[in-house]
Amino acid sequence: MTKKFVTTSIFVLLALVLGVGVVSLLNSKNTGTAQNQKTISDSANLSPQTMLSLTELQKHNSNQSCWLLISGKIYDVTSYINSHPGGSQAITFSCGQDATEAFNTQGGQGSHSKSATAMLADFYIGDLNQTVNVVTPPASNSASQTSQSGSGRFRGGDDDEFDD
Amino acid sequence: MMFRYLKNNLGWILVWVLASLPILIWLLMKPLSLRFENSSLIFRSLGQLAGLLGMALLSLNFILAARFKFLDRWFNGLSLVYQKHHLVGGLAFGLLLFHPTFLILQFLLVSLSAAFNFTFLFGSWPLFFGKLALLIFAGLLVITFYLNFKYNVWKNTHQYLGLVLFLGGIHMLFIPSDISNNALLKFYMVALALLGAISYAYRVLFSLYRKKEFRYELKEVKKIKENVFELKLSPLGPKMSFLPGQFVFLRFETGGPLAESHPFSIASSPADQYLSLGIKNLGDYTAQIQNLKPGLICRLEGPFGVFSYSKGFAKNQIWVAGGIGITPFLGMARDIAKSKNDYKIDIFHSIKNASEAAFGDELSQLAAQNANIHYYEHLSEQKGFISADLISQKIANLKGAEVFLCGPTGFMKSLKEQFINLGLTRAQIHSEEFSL
Repeated sequence: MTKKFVTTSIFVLLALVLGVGVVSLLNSKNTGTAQNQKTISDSANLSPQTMLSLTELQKHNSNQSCWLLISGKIYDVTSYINSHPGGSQAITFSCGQDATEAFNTQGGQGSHSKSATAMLADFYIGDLNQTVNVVTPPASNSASQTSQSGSGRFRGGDDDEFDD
Repeated sequence: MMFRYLKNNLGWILVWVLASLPILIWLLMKPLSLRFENSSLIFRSLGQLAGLLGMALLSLNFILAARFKFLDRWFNGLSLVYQKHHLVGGLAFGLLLFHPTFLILQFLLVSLSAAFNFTFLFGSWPLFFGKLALLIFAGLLVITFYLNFKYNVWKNTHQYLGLVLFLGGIHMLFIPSDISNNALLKFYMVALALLGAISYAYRVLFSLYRKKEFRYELKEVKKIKENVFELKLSPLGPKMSFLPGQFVFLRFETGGPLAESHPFSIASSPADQYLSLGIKNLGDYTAQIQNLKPGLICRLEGPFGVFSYSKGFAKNQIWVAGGIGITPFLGMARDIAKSKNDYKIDIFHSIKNASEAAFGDELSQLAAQNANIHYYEHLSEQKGFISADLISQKIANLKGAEVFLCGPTGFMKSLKEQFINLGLTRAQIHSEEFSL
C-alpha cells in the first residue's frame, strides 16, 4: 500500500514536470520568441489603437479590468487577481494606479521573489504612454466578466495560456 | 478493551496527534473559505497541507528510527516500530512529492511560463534548498523501495536522509509561507524538526547509544546443525538483564562484516550461566558466524521486544515456531524448566525435515523432564504445511490458550488468520516480526 502511494506520487510529479518542460520548449520553438517578450507589433490591425496614458490607466481600476503601472510599464493583471498569494485585495487596492511602491516593497512587507517578478512580465501590455492595439474596450463597457480571461486582450506575444 | 488498545498503540496514536497538530493550527489560522475560494487557492492550500503533514511525519520518523527503549514500550515491540517507520517514511515522501505537484498546478492556472519558471528556474535559495532536499529524498527512497541493494550498502545510503531533514528544514523556515508568517506554527514545526535532528545526531552522527551497550566475550561457538550455531556469551562488564524471548542487536569489536549490527533472539534463560544466541546461516552476515572464534569481544544493544511468555495473561500457551524462529522459544522453555513455574506450554516446531530441527534434541529433553512442557516437531516435507487445525487437535482448551508465533512473515500471517477463524481473539495471538 505504502509502495503504491509512493509510486503514484513519483509518477504524477514526474509527468507534470516533464509536461511543463516539454510543452514550454515546444511553445518557445513555435512562437520563436522567449516567453516573457511581449512587444506589441503594429500597424496592420483592424482594432483601435490606444495610448497607454495615465488617463487610460485610471479607467482600469476594478476587478473586471485591473491595470497596474509598475516602474513605467503597464500590466493587465485582471486574470491574476484571484491567484495572488497575498490575497486579491492587495492587488485591487492598486488597480488603475501606480503600484510601483506596493510591488517593490510587497506592500511594505519586504519584496517580491524573483519568480513573482518573472511572472509579472507575462501580464505586460506596454510602456506608459506607448500606443498599442487593445482588442476590447475597458471594463465599464465590457460584457466579459470571467475571472480567468479578463477583459483586456492584446496582440503580439502569446496569449495561449488564456485559451481553453 | 479501549484502555488496552490505547496502551498497546500509544506510540502510534502519539505520532498522528503530533503530525496533525500543524494541520489544526493551519486550519484555524485563516477562515476556511479564504483558503478554498477558487481553484488557484485550492491548489495552493493543498500544496501547503501536503508540505506541512509531510514535513511533520518526516521529522517524527527520525525519532522512530533511533531505536529508543521507550519506543519498544510505546509501540508494543521494537519490530513494530520499524514497520511504522517504513509506513511513515513512505507517506512523508509521497506527501512531500505532492507538495510541489499542487504548487505547479497552481502556477499552471496562471500561465505555462509561470509554471515553467517555478519548476525549472533557481528562484531563491530557500526554494532551491527545497528542491534539492526533495531530489536527494527521491534518490534515497528509490533505492529503498525499488532497488535491491545489499543490507549494509542500503543502510549506508539511508543514513544520508539526515541531509534531507536539514535542507528541508531550512526551506521550511525561510520560504515565505504560512509557517514563516505564523509564530506558533513556525515554533512547532521547528521543534518537531529539531526533535528529529537530535534523534539523528544521537543515533547516526554520534552513536550515543553505544554508551548503553553491554560488552560480552564469546566463550563458545556450538554447532547445533549444519548451518545453525549457538553462541555462548559471558559479560565483561555489567550483565544485561532481560526477559526470556527478548532480542538484542549484536556486533563484534572487529573489522569487516562482523562489525555490522544485527538483531538476534536471546536463546537462553536469565538464570543460565551464559547468554546465548541461536543463529542460522541465512545471508552475508550470518555466513560469517561459523568463522567466529572464542575470545572475540562483542557489544549487545538492548534488550528489546515484548515477545515473552510472561507478558501473556494465560498460563496455557501454544508456541508455534517456523525454522530458526524456535530461538526465542528455546530461551523461554529453558526459563520455565529452570523456574519450575506453573505455565503449561505446547511447543510446535515446523521445519522442512529432520535435519532442520535446530535445538530439537534439547527441547525434546526439556519436555521429557518437565510435565508442563510438550514439544512436537512438524516436518512439512512429509506432512505439508502446519495449520491451526492440526495444532488444535493436540490442545484440550484452545479458546483459553494464548498463542505465540515466531517465524517467516507469511507463516505467521497465515497461522494468525487461521487461529482467528478458530475463534481466538487478536489479543490472544502474539507474533515476533523478524523482518520487514
